[in-house]
Amino acid sequence: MESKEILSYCVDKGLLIDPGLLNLLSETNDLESAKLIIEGLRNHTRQRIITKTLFEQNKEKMSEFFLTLPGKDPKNMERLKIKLGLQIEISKENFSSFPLKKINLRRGEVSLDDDLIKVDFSTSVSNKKIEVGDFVKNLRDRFNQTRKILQDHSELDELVSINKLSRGRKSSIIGIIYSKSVTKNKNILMEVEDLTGRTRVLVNQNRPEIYQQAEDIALDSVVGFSGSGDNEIFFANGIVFPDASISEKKYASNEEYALFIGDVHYGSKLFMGNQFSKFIDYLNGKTGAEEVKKIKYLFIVGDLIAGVGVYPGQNHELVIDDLEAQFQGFAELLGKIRSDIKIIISPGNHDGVRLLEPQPPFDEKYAWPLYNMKNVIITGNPAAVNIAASENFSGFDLLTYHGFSYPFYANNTPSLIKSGLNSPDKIMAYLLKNRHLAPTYSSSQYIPLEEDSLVIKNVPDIFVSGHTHKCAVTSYNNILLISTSSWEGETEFQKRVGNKPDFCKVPMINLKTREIKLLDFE
Amino acid sequence: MNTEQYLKNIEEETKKVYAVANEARAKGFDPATKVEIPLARSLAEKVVGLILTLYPQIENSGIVERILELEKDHGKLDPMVSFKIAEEVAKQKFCKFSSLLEAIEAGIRVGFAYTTLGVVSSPIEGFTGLELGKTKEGKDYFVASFSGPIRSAGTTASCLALMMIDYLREMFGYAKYDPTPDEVSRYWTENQDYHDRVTNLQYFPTKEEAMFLAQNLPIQIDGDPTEKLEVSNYKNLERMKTNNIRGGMCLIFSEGLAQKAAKGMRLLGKMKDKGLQSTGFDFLGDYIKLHEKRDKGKTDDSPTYINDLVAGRPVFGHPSRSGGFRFRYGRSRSSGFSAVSIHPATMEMTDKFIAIGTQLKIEKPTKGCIVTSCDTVEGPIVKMFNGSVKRVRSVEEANKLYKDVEEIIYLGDILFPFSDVTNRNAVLIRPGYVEEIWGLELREKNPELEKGMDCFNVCFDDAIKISREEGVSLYPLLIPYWTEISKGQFLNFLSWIKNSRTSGNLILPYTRADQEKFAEGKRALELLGFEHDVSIESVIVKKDEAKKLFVNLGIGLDILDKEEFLKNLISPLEKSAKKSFESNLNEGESDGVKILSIVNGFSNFEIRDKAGDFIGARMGRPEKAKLRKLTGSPNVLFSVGNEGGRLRSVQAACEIGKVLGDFPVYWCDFCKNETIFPLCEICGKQCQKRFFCRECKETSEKPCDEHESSQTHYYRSVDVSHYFERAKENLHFTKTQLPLLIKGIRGTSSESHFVERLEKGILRALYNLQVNKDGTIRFDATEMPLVSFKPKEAFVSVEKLREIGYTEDVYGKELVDDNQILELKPHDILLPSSAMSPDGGADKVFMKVANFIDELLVKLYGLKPIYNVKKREDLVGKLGVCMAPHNCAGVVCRIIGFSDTLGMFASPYMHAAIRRDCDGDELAVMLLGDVLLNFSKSFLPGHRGGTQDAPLVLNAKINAGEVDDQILDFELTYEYPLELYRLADKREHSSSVTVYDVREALKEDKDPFVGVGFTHDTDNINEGVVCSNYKMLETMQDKVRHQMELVERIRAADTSETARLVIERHFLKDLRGNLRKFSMQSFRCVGCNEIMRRPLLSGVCSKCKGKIIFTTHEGGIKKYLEPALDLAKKYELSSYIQQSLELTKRHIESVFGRELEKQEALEKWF
Repeated sequence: MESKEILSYCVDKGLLIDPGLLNLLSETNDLESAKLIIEGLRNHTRQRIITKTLFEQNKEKMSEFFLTLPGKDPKNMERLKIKLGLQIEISKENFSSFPLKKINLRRGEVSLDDDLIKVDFSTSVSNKKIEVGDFVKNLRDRFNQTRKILQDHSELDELVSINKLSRGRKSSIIGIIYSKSVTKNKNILMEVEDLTGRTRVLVNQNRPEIYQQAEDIALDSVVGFSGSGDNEIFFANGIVFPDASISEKKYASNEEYALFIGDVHYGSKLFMGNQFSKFIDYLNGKTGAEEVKKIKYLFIVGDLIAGVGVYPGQNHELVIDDLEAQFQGFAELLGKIRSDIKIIISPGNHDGVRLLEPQPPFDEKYAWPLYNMKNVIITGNPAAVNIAASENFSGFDLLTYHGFSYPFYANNTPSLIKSGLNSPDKIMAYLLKNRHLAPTYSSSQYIPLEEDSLVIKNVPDIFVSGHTHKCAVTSYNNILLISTSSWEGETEFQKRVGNKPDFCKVPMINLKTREIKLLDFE
Repeated sequence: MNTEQYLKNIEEETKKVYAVANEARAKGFDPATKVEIPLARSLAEKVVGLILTLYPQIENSGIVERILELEKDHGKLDPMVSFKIAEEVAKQKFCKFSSLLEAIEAGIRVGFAYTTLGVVSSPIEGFTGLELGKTKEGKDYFVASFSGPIRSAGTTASCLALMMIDYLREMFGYAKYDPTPDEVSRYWTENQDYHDRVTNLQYFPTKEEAMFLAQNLPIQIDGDPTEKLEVSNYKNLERMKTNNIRGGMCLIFSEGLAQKAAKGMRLLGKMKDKGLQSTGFDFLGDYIKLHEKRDKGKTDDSPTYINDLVAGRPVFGHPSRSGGFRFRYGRSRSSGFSAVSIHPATMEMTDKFIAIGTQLKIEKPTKGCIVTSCDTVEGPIVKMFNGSVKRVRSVEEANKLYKDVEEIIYLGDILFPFSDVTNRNAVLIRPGYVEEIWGLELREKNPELEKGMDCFNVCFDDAIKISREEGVSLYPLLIPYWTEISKGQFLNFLSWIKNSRTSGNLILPYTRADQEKFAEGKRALELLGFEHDVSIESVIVKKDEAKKLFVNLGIGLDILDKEEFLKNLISPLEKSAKKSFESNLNEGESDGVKILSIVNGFSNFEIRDKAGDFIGARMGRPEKAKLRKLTGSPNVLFSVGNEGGRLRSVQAACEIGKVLGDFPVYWCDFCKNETIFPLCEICGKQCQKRFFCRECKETSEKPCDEHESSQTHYYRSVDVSHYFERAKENLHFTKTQLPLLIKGIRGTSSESHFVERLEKGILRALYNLQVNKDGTIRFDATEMPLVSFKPKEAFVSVEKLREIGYTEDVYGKELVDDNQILELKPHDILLPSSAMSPDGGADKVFMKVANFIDELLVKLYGLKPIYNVKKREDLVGKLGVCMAPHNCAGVVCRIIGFSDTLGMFASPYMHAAIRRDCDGDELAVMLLGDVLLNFSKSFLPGHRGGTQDAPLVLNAKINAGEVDDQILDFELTYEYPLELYRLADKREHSSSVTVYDVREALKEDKDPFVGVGFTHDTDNINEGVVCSNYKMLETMQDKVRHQMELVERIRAADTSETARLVIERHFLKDLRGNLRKFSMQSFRCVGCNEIMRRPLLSGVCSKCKGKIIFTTHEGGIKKYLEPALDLAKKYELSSYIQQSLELTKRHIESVFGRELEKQEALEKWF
């Protein structure tokens, strides 16, 4: 609404209004209520100069008065109240069912009610100057971790370090890819290094069985090669990726369901509020579905809110342009979900958390409403989560990762280019194969910690991601891959790049039977 | 000297230099034994000269003569000429080509070169070739490829090029392109990607437009991938070779075709009327309808000049805001052709941010221009911190006042040439009422009286007398800005005067109580622009100013000399004013207009609106004048490889003894010696070219029989100290005479890998001169127009000027005095010789170049010197070459003097000849002898775009009909017609005004170089700020602080909006970008500068095992954090911005830890 209209109203009434209050009122987009508020304040105080301070001085009276407002847009009114300094009352009201004591949600075991949920993620707070050496250490750690995984592969026999290679002898090496090019003769040539030295690995174009594999090798991934050669050049006969698989599928002892969502983008103009309410109604059993009672876990894998300043000019796409208010609104929504559902939340690239991975949990300064909820567990990104453990069951291991690096692989890996971001499950499988969430340097922003926490150290039972706004549920080597859909309408950007997002689809897994159902709230 | 004789002189002098250069080159020290630049006298010669770089067979094939014939039939620069010549070349009428496709390609290039006047490399490198594609039915269609250099062709020319290609397609019976839906979408997506992710397109078509165009394209537009970025969608299409963004395609598609469809269609239509057969682009009619629909819906709420704001470059006014630059029609001696003039005091008053030559981005009627000075327009009106208001009249005064200025109430005039308004096809802008209008109106009433007087300089009494007797409006300098105050201010102002008294001056009460009571009246006094002083308890308006006020209010002047109260005189005025407001007549009129009509009721004279339109502006790029230096500032084009060390020093390489690199291979039969030069450096005899076979790895006298991989150069180790010693001997230099550091290049990137003789490098280093990639020495400077000058402005004696042909002034009087005004001849330039130039000015540089050439001629070539320059004035009369960026044709210029600025003053015809206007571009000047002697095509990089910026042809004669057609609108006059001002008042279209211009002159066959004229004289074109403060302030922090301090002062500029844009567009982007870059950064080796995209496991350099370091540092990331936060806080920016910044801060802290040491003191900032 134009603040001009409010202004002219004031001029007509012979009132002066201060810019602060004017701004707040104009943000409600509700001219009628704004007029009533001004009128009310004026009648109550008999003042001609209407200021925010004046409002605050008469807070009590005014909050009574608020109740009488017709308010065509309750959400905006709510926000106005918060902004006008009535927020303490409001938040108490909303969160009265929860203790205001903050639950410390850090690494380790968290016990909610009777359940034990184990959470592990990198705390990643650096307090020292980052130096070149940190990048090197981080890289070496990745190499060492992945090498250990590769060493178990039987295809890599006669394993030697690069400086021990000698011509004419069959051997295997494990190396990290520094560069990769296609020669004039269409052979693939890679510079590969390990801790002892460097060599070039050649994959002949006449070896179709490994050539295609070689095409898919990501820069900076750690790969094993068998073949022969020396530290000048090594001719590959076989390529071995670290890969991941689960030999035996797990089944929980109790009938419990887990649900997965992501990319809610609360606060965006395109947020699909009605559909999300339908989802909440479903969870609360209002639709009468029988299985609902057994739902025990809800995972939200990032981009809960639209955030602020994520890209230039984002403010034009927002309904709520304040981070705190976005979290507040979102927390209110979550608060409506019946409290025996455990909600496990990790951040994405819109949530006001730094983009450098591993991302820490939400900033308490803005996300305090989430931290105040007792059925919510907050993790970093990526995170390992163990649920549904019991005396005779080790529980399901989940890996959650928002998926910031996915576009890079969708655009650069030959076997992924075709389906691109429309098949996030393929990208997820590809990364599992590499045992790293962002193998190529610069495919995601990262902070060089001593331990490379983007390495997929332990093979999860379930791997969940968002970011692509594309729903997918598949299985890769007995690992369940889940990509969540979006609660934000199709953006101009997506239209242009040809991504066809899915909306409001919620995969639900029965942990006892591993039966999967796709709920649709669109 | 008349023009004909002058042009002949220039040509003869040019030929003399050619003769010497040819003699020198014949000695064989250079890649070619004659001068490599053909001299072109006509457009036809330029065209052929340019294209023969690709097809040598077209030389002397009769194309030149045919073009001249066609010009006779169709008129010069007519597109018909280009289409016809293209057709005839394609039909192989003049010479044969290897295939029909090559012939068509050549035809397109010749035709395209004609439309682009033969001065840009677009026809050879922007259009990169023609191929055939297959339609679904299996028929052949045209695939035309374009590349980045298409940009320099200009949009209309590139649109015509597409039509020409299609014309030839139809003529030779090829099929139309049949785009698939995916291909159509690809065009749209790719253009969008280019616009959003690479660089802004001048014109960005809507989706509807782009899809429609793509669906109907009769030929496929293709191009090389110019970006590393891939398109975001529609990849791997069969008939599109690349998935990367093709810049050339986007440029010609959006800026050429989509933007210029209407104009192209019109030109094509004219040709079709003359019988040209072409149907491929008939669909454009429907496109234009689409296009116009879009134009109508366009809203102009946030002009681009503000949105593109750059940190550190101030805003001089938000759009049309009162107090910005006041629009005024006129062309000073140094404006026109996209240059405007402002008062020198205004320059100074902008904290010296605007200097002569600084670019302004403006709201309307054009987008950009550069600024020159003119002191006959109005300067700024400022309010001091003590409340006094002053009109600033000189640079010195402005300089003294600036620190005490609280507010710049009015910035002053912006003198805008009518030619620029009409050239942009703009609606007339309403100027304020100014002296020249008054003069013209007086002439209408009394021509005799007007003839005898200078309307810019009329004293108070005369002005009153003339207005009374002749019935003309009150003289503009006596009028205040009545339309710029509000009703409240006006009434309060009247009531304030009511309470005032006279005593020689007008004395207004200003006690504490009055200050509150008459605050609005005081503001009115300020906004009206009356000078006044604030003393302890009163405000004093001096007699001269008070007289003006009284004349406006219709009060007798005699009262001023008495001691009297004004109550009785003003009361009736106040009453009548109130009444007029209450009467509510003329509902809908603004306060200003009402006030003006009320004042007209008071006064005995007609009072006109002084204000007119105000123009918003911001600073664009600063002016520039400096020697061009390649990376590493080489003195010589000689590879020193890695052996040259960090400094690329020839001596360092000599110490190592060898250089590894690609060098040409020659054989001296006499010395039995393999060498790198065509002339043996030992015995001075001619050597034989040798061939190196890449397969056999051997050199031989002939290309290898077995393999096809012979080349005339190869990678090897070369004994550099040997060549260096020989060079030293040739020059007869002892060790002590040698310069300490001679810098070479890392390696050659040309195809032939030719290197220069080291003698040239030694001499250049001796004179501290740096070489450009093509072997020339260039001085770059901002382009500035000049139509006439005074000897004193050019710092040249009257005698010297007479010597070179300046014998008469503009009025036909003999030149005797250095204050006379001379008309600048078309090839003549003034060298920017301000000492503020980083190289000490072009005069010093060119003296060194002249001496270098002389010494080179004597010592290397064994010839006589040709320049003999000992003092600066010796440069006068010497010839040079002017070139604009991206051009590939030079224009001969003549140095006739020096200016104390950082811009190159040259005739508008010269700027038009190099196809640039003066909107902030720069041109390069070289000495003719240097160009002819040292330039070689063999040095040019082999990759695409390599011929851009190289003088491939030389134009020795500017022909007003063969230059950029923008010149046709250039006015040839000393004044504008009254009709202009009358139509401007009604905001008519500029095309409804006729001013005598170059187009007219050419039509009448008059000499367009004579009688160019100007409307506003100035005392000295060098007067004003020479070097923009933007360049003097070292850090970005300083720049932004000064920027904000200035913007705060300027009434017309919105400070918090500026702060918001600075943060959003600059700081936030920078902070985020750098943080992002930090985690993705590449690493550099301290030892050998090797760049690694990530560190190695070993942690050391991959090449030399040296230590590696960051390329993006923590400090660089945090640099703008505090400034941005302070700015946001200080100007109370929206919580959204504050939060965005706060978040960024928290992110940075979460990566680097919280800053524990004390932050920079706040007051250091704001």
